[in-house]
Amino acid sequence: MTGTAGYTENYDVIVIGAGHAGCEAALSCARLGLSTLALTMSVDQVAFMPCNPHIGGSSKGHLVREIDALGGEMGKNIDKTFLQSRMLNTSKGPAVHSLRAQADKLAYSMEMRRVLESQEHLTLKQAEVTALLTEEMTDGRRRVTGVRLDTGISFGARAVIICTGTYGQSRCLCGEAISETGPNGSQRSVPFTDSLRELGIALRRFKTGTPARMDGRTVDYSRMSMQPGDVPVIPFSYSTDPASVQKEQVPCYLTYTNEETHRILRDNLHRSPLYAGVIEGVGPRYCPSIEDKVVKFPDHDRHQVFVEPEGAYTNEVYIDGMSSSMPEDVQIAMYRTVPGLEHARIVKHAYAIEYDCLCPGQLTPLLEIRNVEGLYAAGQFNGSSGYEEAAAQGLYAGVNAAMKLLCKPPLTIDRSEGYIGVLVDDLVMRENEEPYRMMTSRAEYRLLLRQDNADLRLREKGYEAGLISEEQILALREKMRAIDAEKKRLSRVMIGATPQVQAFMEKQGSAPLKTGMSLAELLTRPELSYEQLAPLDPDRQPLSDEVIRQVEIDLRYAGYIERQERQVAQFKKAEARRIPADIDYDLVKSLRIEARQKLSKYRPENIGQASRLAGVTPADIAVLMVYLESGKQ
Amino acid sequence: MAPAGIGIIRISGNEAVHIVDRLFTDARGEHVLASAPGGFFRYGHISDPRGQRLDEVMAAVFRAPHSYTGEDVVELQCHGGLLLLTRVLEAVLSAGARCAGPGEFTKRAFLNGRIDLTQAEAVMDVIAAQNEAALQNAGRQLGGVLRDRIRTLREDLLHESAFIEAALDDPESYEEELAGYNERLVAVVREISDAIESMISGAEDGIRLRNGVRCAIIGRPNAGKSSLLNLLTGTERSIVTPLPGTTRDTVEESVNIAGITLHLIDTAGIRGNGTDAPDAVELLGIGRARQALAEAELVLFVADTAVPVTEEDRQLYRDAAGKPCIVIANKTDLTDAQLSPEDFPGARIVRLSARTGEGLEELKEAVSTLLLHADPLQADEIVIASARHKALLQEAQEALSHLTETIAAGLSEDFYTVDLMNAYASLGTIIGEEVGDDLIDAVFSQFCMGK
Repeated sequence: MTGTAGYTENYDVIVIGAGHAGCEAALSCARLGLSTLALTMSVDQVAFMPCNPHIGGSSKGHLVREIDALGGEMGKNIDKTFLQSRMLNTSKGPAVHSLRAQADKLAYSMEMRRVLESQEHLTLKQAEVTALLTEEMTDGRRRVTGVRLDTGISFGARAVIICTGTYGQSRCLCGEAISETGPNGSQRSVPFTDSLRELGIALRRFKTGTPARMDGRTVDYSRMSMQPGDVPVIPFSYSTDPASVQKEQVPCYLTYTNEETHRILRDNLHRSPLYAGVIEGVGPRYCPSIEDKVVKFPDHDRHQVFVEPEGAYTNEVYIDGMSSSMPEDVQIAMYRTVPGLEHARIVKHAYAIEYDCLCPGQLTPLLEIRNVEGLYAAGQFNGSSGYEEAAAQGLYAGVNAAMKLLCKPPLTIDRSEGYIGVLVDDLVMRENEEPYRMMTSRAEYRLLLRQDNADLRLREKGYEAGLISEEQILALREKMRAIDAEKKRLSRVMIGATPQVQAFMEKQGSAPLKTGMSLAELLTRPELSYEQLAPLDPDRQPLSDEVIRQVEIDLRYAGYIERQERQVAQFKKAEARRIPADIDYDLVKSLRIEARQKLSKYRPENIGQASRLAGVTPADIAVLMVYLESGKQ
Repeated sequence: MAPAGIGIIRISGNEAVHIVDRLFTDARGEHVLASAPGGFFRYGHISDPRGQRLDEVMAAVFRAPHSYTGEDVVELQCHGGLLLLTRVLEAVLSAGARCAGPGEFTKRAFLNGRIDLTQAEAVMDVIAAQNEAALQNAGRQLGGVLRDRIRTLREDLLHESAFIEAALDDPESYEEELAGYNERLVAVVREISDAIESMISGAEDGIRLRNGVRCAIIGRPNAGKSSLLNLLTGTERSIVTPLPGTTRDTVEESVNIAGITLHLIDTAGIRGNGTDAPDAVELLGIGRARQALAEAELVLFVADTAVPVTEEDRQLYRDAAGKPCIVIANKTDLTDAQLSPEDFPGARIVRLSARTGEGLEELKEAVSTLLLHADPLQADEIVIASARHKALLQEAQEALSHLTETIAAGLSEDFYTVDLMNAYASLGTIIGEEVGDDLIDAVFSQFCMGK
């Protein structure tokens, strides 16, 4: 192999960065038996949470469950280190139930570091990567060969995964004060993203922000409403023993901004770097700063503010809902207008951060950078936002880098199989003018993609990749068999319209039977649960709650699930029509110019992906299909 | 579509044969298509899903892969009238088919490897052109008012979806606003649904205005049917004599009445076995008259006021039951006698002299009122004049009625957006706008997201 000379050491895989993406990427590769080096600017900040102190939430909770189903670490780690846990949207359908846990940030970081340090084949090292090393291949493209460190030594690798988050040439803004640092005052990296630009990789600037942290002793909680956790707690991980997560929880608190808060912000808008034009990066619409909210929604007379613990080790609290890039004197004034924060002291002021990230159109669906063989990217560097989105990509990129080195088929998850599939497809195929956050409305088949069935959807894929053990997969298959058998049994057991049954129905507040009905049909009535029907079902065998839950959902929502499955069948047809990797769109004469440009830039692998590209019309797709069909002959 | 001798409707896909089988019966009245082999070609009748017979057709079955598209294909060769074709098309659509997109048959043929590049390239230009034209056409066809109306409805649908999505994504912020939301949404959906319903009526008007209406003139022999035809057409199209049974065959003519084209069919008078028994030729004519009556969308029932109403009249009126019907009290120039409304329950009675033309204006007004939901002269109510648009409006309507059921069944908000967005997409197709990132954009622009 060329290029190994001069390297201090050689690895199969080098992961740059040990945040949420880097940890999952490094663990996946090492667990698949590849020698892996994880490089981070500070080993004391492994899996650091520089913004909000929670994991999960709407649609992000789904991602964590999926990561776990595939053999990732995030779910297990939060189960070990949470302070409070809630299932959101429980009054809604099962598809949008979402688990969210408040994390003890330091405990989360330390626990993840322990996991990394105990992992066979994995080396954790503190260093700044200053350059990516590549060589030219015979076809003119480049191939990654390793990385150079700030100390001047180099490490060789067959694959490199960029998980550098928001550290690339970042700067933090707090009013007129601008510091050239990474998040939370940490060291940023300048040379690395320059070395990417030299390789012809296009980068852009994104922006995000974080609110202030307060000294909890100076917060008057009596003026806020308490938000306790759920009892019992449901763990994120399929491997966590539910008994192990039942513990005393730490509450969060809810308060509100008011007209006075908004007046202070309006009066000082000219001092906001965003409104003064100092910030060039594009910020996310879903996580607006408080000044953004006040400007864009002038009719809202108040906004929610959640006060959340940062950890058990500190009395620092996170002021959720009030991120800002205002000067600190304005911050102090505005925070102190909020009930309960009148005397609060700021430990860490709010700030906005700008950073380098990848321009769209350069990633393959397996998260490899198209022009540099063996170079992968995951997490915020790819233009996403959020710990969970980062972790999901880290796992996906890590497994797929490993699969390629091991000459095994890739791990693929499409839009109908998981939120991870939606996330990756959106990142790879869309322009995304702002940091991309997961949302349930982005998943077209969300009735099928529930947090309760992530294992049923994805565990087999994790097993095929090699991250799920024999024992785990046998347990899953047994669960599927039990669900299936119980559904069949329930559709066989008929309940007659006898006087006893009618009396029972009346007692349950359910309409009397017109004719005999199967138990399965009875379960479609929203007012009847599996458990309630026990008196009518003497032959019932004891089953786990998990199995019963799936049986209930499958039967109750059968009509809706079938409708979505039909849509999925349509979707799969288009996904199965492959486009050759070497297609030259300039030869497809009848394609409109715009379509030709978009297709050339994003290089979709199949007709389904092509049809989702903005600027490609159904007529363009027809033209393309004709062209492809002709090529076969 | 332009008028032609024969019109062909082609249905392709796995379900094609089953869909048409529900509508097609052979000469013996049996449903035979489901088991028909490829190459099957047979005479029969096509009916709408309620069993109402629409046309005589030849049905041809092609089994996959031996068809134009490479899938199961049924072709219906119908009589060429636009009206008839539209009705057969509507029947096929309501039985479960959907309209093909521009060039879709050809596209499917490629995908299934049925035609090669040379053939393909020749048709692709046309496909692209058609697509462009179809979009522009959609834009042109919709007057500004209607397009705006569809846009407004879509904005309303999108707003509701965006609200639900915002509430699902950030449940803690929207908990309070979600209380009582179901009732509010039901009211909004009802309003949208009413608006779509009136557009569907408008579409029906439009189809009628464009394609015209089959109108049978019936009545006992010598009631003055042919005189009425001549009055309406202003010609001596039918031979008029005082002898009962002069018209032996149906006579067809198109006239424009109050903006609507009526395809008039003057029928042989229908009479039972009386003293003047009809001869064989006249009997044949009477058979056709009954057929014309069955196919008519409007019936002009001509009664002779100069003679008493008989049981025969009443029976004939009952035969026309269920069709929009105007009873014409004819020969007012000869008598002042009145028809008794009890003899013609539910009918609009118009006094007319077919000979002098007195009462013609009232007849025109009656025709317009009966056939159109709106006044054709009020241009902004008009009109989406294609079966495709009507089908899309109905699709949107179905999604909304599904939504209403979902709400009534006690399901939660996350199920609603599926139907809301389906309705949104269907309405969008009418004006050539797709869904894309609309929902995400609406969530962010209309609702304050994020803690």
